[in-house]
Amino acid sequence: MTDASLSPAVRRHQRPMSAFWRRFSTNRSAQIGFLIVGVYLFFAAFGPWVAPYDPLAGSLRMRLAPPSTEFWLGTDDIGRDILSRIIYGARVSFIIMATAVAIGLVIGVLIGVVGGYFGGIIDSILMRIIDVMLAFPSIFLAIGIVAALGPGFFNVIVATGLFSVPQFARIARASVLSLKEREFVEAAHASGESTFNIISLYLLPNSLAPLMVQTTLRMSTVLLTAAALSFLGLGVQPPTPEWGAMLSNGRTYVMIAPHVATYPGLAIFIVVIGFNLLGDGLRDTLDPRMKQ
Amino acid sequence: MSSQPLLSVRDLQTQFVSDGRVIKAVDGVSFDVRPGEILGIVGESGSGKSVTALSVMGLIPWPPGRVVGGSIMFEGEDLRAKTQAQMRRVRGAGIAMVFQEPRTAMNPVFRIGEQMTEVIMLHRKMSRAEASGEARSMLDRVHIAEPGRVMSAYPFELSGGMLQRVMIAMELALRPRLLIADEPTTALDVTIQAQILRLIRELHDEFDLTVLFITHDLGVIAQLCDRVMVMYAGAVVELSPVDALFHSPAHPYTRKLLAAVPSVVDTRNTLRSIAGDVPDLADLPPGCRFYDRCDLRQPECRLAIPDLRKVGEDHTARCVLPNAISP
Amino acid sequence: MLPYILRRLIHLIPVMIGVTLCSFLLLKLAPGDPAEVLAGIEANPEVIEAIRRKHGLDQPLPVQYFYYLGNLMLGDFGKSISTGLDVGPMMWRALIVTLKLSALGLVLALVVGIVIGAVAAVRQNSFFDSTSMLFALFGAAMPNFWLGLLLMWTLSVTFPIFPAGGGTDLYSLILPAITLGTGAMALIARMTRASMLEVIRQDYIRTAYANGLSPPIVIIRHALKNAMIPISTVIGLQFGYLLGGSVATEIVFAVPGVGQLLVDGILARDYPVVQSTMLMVAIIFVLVNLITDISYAYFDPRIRLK
Repeated sequence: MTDASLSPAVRRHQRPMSAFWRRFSTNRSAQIGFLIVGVYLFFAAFGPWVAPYDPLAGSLRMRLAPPSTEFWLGTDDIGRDILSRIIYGARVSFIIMATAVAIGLVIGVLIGVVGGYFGGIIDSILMRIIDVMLAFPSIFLAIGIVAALGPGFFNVIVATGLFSVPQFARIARASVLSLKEREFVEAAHASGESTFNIISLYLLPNSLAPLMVQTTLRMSTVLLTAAALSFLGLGVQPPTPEWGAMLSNGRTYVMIAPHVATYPGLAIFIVVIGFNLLGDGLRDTLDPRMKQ
Repeated sequence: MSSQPLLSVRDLQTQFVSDGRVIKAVDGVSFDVRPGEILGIVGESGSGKSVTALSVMGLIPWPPGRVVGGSIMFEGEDLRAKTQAQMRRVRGAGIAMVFQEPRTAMNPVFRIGEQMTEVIMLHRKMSRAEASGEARSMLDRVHIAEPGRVMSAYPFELSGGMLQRVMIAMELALRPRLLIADEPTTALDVTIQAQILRLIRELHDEFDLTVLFITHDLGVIAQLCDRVMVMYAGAVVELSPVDALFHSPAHPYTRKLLAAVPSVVDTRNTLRSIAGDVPDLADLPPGCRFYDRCDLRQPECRLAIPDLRKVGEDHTARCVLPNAISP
Repeated sequence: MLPYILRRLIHLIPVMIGVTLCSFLLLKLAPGDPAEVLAGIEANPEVIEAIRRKHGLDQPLPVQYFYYLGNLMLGDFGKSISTGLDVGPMMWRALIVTLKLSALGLVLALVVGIVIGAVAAVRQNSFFDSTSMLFALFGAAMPNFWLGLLLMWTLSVTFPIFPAGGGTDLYSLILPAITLGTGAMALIARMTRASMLEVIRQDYIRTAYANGLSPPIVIIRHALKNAMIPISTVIGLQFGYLLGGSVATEIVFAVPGVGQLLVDGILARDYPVVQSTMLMVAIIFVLVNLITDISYAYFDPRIRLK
């Protein structure tokens, strides 16, 4: 491998953006994912201007109205327009998702990079902490954190954020471990670069591809987990238009007005598909070898 | 020579489809395998020798490939007319095949004994105990020192040479009438190669086995075979008894192969030692396929593919000038 | 093999310490004085003090942690604040239901997922392949609480084939198990397909055909066993997802399992219940992972014999 000795900057030229776009533009499912995520982000940004009604104001005369030309997706148990609530909900879920994934990414990468780079006892301790976190299967970790902190919008962000730490930590650590023996890092050592510089200029940029893929895929996991917490009554509380909470509310009326629970669930479903397709597509385009 | 051939292939055409292009991997190949002989097929990689063998076995994977023309007569029956179920009785019991890479040719998650017993039970209608005994005696027959230990071993626990013996034992335990060996020694060390070749020769004598032996190595042909067929770019260019081929090669390609013999151990080097390119099998020229690389080419060679012409006793070559170059 | 198991067991020690520490701290972090809670509403300060001493709550935290571990060893998980009953028996009852549900979901996910994935691989690019992979995409993206509601709405409300929930018998658990298993099924189908596509290109599969074995035998006996090796490594992880998913599923179908117990416990601030349930789930998950890692060797002799 002669390219191992090249600097990161040179290496980036071997995979120019044009090649990325060429591969991305032939990947149809990635494009569909991109489109869904784009529409979702549009609603998260401009929801209040697009939504036809106030998401919190209902009229009791219009309780549990089925979908009609007036209320496209019907109304809920206190007569609020479900479409408007779903549109506002896009912003709620996006804030949770983006903040939580950012928390997970920052803490996780920090743990992974420090552990991977320094190794030894520090690494052992950090990895045991990660092991303990991973001992609580999937949503249980988030539930445990919520149990300690109490339900609520902010705590859901903390819970789903910490819940994402182990995955990022493992990816960052693995990629640092594989990179730190490479020649360009050794060369940086030899030329007296500081540890901070080596990590931030040489190691992190080269772990970017797997981290980007994981970030995208993690979005859907966090969305699902946060919605599940709210569905369980442990997350965002009513009347905030959060999709999981809406679904939980609609549960009561599943016999007489199934649309109340159906549409918020559909919204979650579509956005998760979007992020999954985009994440898979990024994985295929950024690095075909990462395919399992 | 009057006896009926065991295998008779006529005008075999096998094609692969790739990116919308039709690749004529085997294009009009005809040959006979006579009972009791060892026929060698020699050629570079991509010459169609392995595809010929897989076509005979009915193992061309569709997609992307399939046999599109010709006939394959085995013991007087047309294999191409057989159903899949009928073909399964031919594979193994009628025609058995040994592959190039013994390490990957055996299933990694089953013990040697299990793999041998399974096929012996299938083709020889034996009980498990009988099949197991048969497997053991065949392993013994191919000079494996501790058959019992090998039977209970997994493939990854054995060496490549050992595994190739096991493969040969497994196939011969099925009592096939024809054994196709597709470069069975290529992946092995030189000393192990020699042992395996000796073993095949020995089993050929003992079981009166007919063998179709595929190789890129003329040295192996000289050591083992009775007759030899030279393939180039999906077609037969020369078919001859081994002695005649080495003493009076008729086709310019064969002559170049022979001239390159010292380095013939490594195919890739041989290829490079002959100047020019193999024609694109998806876009074949109308004339002789060796035209671009031939020192003796004639204007007419461009226009049409030469026929196989008789150049000696039991010896044919696909060249317009056989007499000019055959001393 | 034995050193491997030993190494894994030693590796478990710090994890177990961490997990019990977490569950211990959960109770400590929770608002309210446990002694007061135990004493009840009308207790006077002396009684509270006595309870505090009796339960070692006047000791420093590390000592309390060892008391806690000691009690766990004795099978004492404390008393529920809301019901005053021992947490242990409540938890075991719920745990059995959840394990039954998760196991059912896992079996469903494995059987259906492997069959779909294998058939899709064998008929690569066919209509079946593309449809099933589309469903796999959907299955992986479906929030299970939503799927549960949809199933309940269609199969127990509109067409009353299955009970809407509450039961713990096998028949009542069918819809919850489908709800729970769909995500894992989708993932296993995708993995099996990828793995099978890899395996059926291998030389030993060609050897099997060349030996006259029939396609069903080649696919089921020779290919699938190899294709299962990567699948078997994720079974433990999948079981974890199923345990996690069982929380929402149990709430949807009113199944009296661990999820139900945990959520009710959190909402009622019944910390002894929450604490012990979390602990038990973690211990079970860790053990299941250990077992999968060890049984993984069963599929791959290359690992077993090293």
